Amino acid sequence: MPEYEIIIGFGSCGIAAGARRAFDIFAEEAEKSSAKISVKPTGCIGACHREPLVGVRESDGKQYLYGEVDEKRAGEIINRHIHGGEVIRDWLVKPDYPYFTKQKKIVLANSGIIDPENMDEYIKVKGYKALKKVLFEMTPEELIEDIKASGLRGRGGAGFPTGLKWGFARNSMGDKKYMICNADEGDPGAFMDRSVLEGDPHAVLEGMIIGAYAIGADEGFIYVRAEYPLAIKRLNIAIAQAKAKGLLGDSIMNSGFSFNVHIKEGAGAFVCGEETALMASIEGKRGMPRLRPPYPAVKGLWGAPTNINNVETLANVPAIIRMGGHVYAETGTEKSKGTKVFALAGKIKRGGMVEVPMGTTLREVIFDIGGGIQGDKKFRAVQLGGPSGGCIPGSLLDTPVDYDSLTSTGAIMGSGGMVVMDESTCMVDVARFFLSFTQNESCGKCTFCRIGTKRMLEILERITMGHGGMEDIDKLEELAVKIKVASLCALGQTAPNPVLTTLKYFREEYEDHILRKKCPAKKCKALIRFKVVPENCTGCTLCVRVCPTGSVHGERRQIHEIDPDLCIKCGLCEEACHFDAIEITTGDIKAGVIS
Amino acid sequence: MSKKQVSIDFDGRKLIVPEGKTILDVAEEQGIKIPTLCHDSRLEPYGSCWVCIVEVEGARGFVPSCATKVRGGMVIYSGNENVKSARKMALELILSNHYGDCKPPCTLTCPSNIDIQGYVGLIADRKFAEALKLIKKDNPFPSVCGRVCPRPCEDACRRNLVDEPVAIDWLKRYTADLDLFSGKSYDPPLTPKTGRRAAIIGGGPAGLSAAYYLVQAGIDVTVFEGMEKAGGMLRYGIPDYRMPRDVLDLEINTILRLGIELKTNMRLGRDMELSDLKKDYDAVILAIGAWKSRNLRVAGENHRDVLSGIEFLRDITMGKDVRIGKRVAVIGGGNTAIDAARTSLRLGAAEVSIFYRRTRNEMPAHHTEIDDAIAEGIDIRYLVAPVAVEADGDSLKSIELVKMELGERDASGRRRPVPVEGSNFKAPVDTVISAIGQYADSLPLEVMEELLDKRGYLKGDEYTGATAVEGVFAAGDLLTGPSIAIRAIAGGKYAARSVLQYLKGKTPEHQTEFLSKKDDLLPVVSDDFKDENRIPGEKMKTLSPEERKHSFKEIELGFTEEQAVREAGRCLECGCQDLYECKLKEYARDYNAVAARFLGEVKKHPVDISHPFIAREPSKCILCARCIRICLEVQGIGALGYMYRGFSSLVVPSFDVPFGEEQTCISCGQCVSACPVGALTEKIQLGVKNGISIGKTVPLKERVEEGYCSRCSVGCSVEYRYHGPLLTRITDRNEAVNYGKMCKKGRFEQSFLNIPVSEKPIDANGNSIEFSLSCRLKSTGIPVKE
Repeated sequence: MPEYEIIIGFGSCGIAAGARRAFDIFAEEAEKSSAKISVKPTGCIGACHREPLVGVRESDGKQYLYGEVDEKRAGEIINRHIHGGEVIRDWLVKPDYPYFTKQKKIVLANSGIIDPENMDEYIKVKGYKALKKVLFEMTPEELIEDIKASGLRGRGGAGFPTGLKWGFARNSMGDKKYMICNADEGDPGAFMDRSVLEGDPHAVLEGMIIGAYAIGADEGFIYVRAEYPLAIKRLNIAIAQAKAKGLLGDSIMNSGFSFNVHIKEGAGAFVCGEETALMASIEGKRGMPRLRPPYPAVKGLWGAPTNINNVETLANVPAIIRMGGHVYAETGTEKSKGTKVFALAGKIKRGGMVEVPMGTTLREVIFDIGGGIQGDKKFRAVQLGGPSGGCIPGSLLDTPVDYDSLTSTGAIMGSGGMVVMDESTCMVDVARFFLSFTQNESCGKCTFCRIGTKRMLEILERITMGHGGMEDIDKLEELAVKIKVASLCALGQTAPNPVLTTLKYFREEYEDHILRKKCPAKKCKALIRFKVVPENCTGCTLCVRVCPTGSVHGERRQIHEIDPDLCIKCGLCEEACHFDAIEITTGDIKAGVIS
Repeated sequence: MSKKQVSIDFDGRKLIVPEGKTILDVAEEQGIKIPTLCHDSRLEPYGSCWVCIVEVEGARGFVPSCATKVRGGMVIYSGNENVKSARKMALELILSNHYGDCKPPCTLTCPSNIDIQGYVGLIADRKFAEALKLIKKDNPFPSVCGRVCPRPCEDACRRNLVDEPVAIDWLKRYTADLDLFSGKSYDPPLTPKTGRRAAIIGGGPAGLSAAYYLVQAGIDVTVFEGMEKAGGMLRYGIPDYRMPRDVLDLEINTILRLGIELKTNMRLGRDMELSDLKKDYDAVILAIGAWKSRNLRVAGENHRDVLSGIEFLRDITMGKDVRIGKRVAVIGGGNTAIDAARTSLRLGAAEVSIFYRRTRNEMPAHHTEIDDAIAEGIDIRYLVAPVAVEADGDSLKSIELVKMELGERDASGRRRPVPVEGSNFKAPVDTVISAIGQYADSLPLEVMEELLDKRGYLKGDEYTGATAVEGVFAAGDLLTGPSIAIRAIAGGKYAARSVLQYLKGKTPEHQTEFLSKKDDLLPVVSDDFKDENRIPGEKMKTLSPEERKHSFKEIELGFTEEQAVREAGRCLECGCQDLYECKLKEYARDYNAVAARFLGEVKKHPVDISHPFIAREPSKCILCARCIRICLEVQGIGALGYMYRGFSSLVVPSFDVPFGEEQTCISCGQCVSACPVGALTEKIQLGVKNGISIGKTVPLKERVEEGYCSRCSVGCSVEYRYHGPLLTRITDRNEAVNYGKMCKKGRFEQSFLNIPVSEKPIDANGNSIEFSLSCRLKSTGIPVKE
């Protein structure tokens, strides 16, 4: 054992923040003295806002986690901590860091601890124990009962009880059955599944094999988007390792149960996260949902009974089996058991992967764990569930995160994207953004989704341009209500949620845009105007120089002026000004002057 | 082995039905109409249109009835308000991106909605007799209108956006004259006599048109005409050189000879009373026209050399000796003014001037008439109005005029002329003809005062002709005010329809249909036709100004056959081929859908006519995917597929090549049979000459006869579709042995059936067919009408 084990957060988040450079520096040092230090990558450690994260584990078991480890800090850590024995307290992510203390990690338990590309490490943390228990001590029926007892519900968004789902597939007649892992995570701002796959791929694989055993499937697919190359790489490694160890393939652990897994890389169509579209895509067809019934459990992939679970759902399974369903059910609320992983993002101080027990309030997640709003601005809303979800206002911050409470707000639990918005966010524009996403991602099959969401989007565009009328609100609501109940799949059925929730909680913003041609957040370009504040302007010409269109005029030491006809409202002048001499006004121009 | 029966609640009705049937099937059996666009009994349920939705208790949201199977205890609502409004919205959303014209703008502009695209297409296909029948369905005066109509249809013609409009009116005249002078001109079929009687007062275009349609419906019609001869303003208001009397007489005769009694010199209020007619007849149509001339309201206008234009023209027709001087001033800017001026010229006037108070742009006269008048040497002075007429004893001396300028727009949208103070001037003149407008003489109607409004004008519904008096209807200028002939003819047609409704005890109703119009969504612009060939219009042979200006000989001499066919070939075929079968059109009417309710982006796509038998119009596609599915799932081909996503989604031939270049298509036409709208249609080839298709695809009403295909030994069930004697299409029939499937030969390669037996039949590839056609037909039992 080397004296120091260096663990580097090597999820996509860490790599993007520069973890590779830190890794190289530590690896170089390890080459010099392998007795002194060893280096290993791990998955996302969770505190993405402090990446690159580097853990130092001393031989006596003491652990320290350093944040923001760039090249300079990496060198210093080697010099001062490894060679000097000095813990550099200022750079530490302290163990009592509130970001971690309120979390409870089941799904993410191994992420950031083990090396995801090293199966032995997974096995060291009781990996594949659950599979062994299932194969040799439980019948599929007992297994399904245990999952039912755990109260586990699908983490992909809809929250369907997993045990029930497995039971359906189990009871469905068929020589051939399929087990599918849905890793087509597509919500903007969501990265839970990616982190789990990158940080603990074996847990997902183990959950999948257990599920296959439950329903009687001998073949499975992991449908993962091609934009997740690291997750795919680590999954491939995990599959190869498991196969080599006899944990995957024919007669697993000589139990007589066989299961093979393929990875199907999706091309990025959002709708392929919908189970029937996903199966069509695996079959090589255009990713389009079909009518249900028949449900996949009866008639799924290539017509065979098929079970589809989300990544996070499957990652829960080994833990449930190890601890027992009843123990798992002790965490959470009456109807929502266990924990939920959120990707906390947006205008939040501490963003990253967060896993909390069901029932934790939004306020606790955002303010206690996330530390509140960046720059101590005012909280405006939290968006849950991505384009299928809704915007929840401050008055509902004490809503507990569980399936039913969140649904009652008009939002949904969704897959776990949690985007925090501050007062500089225009809620109409947010609704427009999400709708433009769903409209782009609509498969085009059914009328209400294909054309209805397009018309809603056009109305929202009209409103943000200042061309809206009050009748547009009625039309939006009329369309939204019908699209929800007359669309083929969940994409269309949930697409109006961002509009409906913003209309419910932020209606006055719509009215401001329509009646007063005013964007309170000063985001909608057609409704704002950049002006020079004469009393603050020093005539430094900084703004004149950055303006890309030459709309700012003024001689040195003269008060500058902005030509509204030329101004494209890019905001560069405001950023450049050191004297708060550029102000943005709204509600004082006629609609649609600027296109 | 019978299926398990289950009990369900369907719209409050308790039904016992076999389990596993779809809600749609059950509804059909119950006679409940559920609309559906994407469902096809040959295919698995798909669920793209969401028009067939119903509510099922306990289900989340609406469910598609085409795919939902009944279960015991199911409670179904197939037509409550919630369902209806959702269906309506689905249709309106579909319509908001369904960019097509059900009917062409020419037809929609025509007051009588003549099927212009139809007859122009038939002319292009040299089916002149069928073209004539189509015209006469809506206009019994085609030879007349072919000469005098100011042709609003041509102003609306989309070809204006390419080069110049199709000469619709001259094509009508060509077809009509061909028939009229054939010696055995067309008589429409008459239904058996009903024994009901109608009196029509006025034998002008409105009255005769009404008579024409009523007599066809088995009504005994008597037309009371105040003048010596029938024809109304057509005879007494339009000079010979435009409306030759022999043509008029012949055409009136085609109407009268159907069994209409004409009583001339019978004037309402003088020779008979309205109240008596109402007693003696089951229904009365008033069509007495608008024969009164508006006064100039200037000093001196009561002089005997100040004539009324309309009286002047009438007196000429009646052969009266009309006194006319050397210098004639005509006041007005309508067709009557032009006609009076040109007639004066023909009567020997040396200097004829027209004084009009606005500019040429505002002149109501047809622009070709104005050009012709100028060519004949008539001087038209714009922006002048008369102030006084000065006489010198028995003769006129001069007319005093004032210059005008255009001011604000008035109610008609035209700029109102305003006198320029102090700009008065005088012009020497011998005769003044006033043609500034006409109005109806409502004096004989005063016996039934409820017919008239406060100002003494007849009041009635413009579309039904219904008046305030039950059983009394009105048509023509009396109802509409002075207007063009075709409007009177249309009025007569509508009044006849209303009379028929009235006689059946129904309230007269103007039938409306849903019409998808491109311009409702996105204006059609010239850029849409940038790839269209520029083809100048055919020029009609005319007498030269010198030849014509001193004679009353007809000026326009008509098209030759080749000219007519070439000109008809210029038609852009704006109307939809699927007009009579489009499901979207039908449901849009059923649900009162408004196409422009969800106005937004509209996807325009070019029409693809590269396929030899199938026309593709993606702008009309509603993405139901029936074509894709039938091609793949039934035929096993897969020549069509989706492209793009979301709102941009599109159905295209594989690899988005032109359909004609798609390599796997076997031209079975299944996609066409599956398409519920006009996005995929057969190219109907009526105009086949020497094996080469030369004509137009014409949307025609069809008669369907069931039969069997004879092209091979399989003997597929098919439908033979005819328009008159013409075989238009052969389509599939969902019966043994083929159950709705067909092949290329059976569906498309049968156009030789339209070749008259005397010609040697040739197949689509131009190879001659050995057997004689009649021999073939006898051996197959194909029902072909001679």
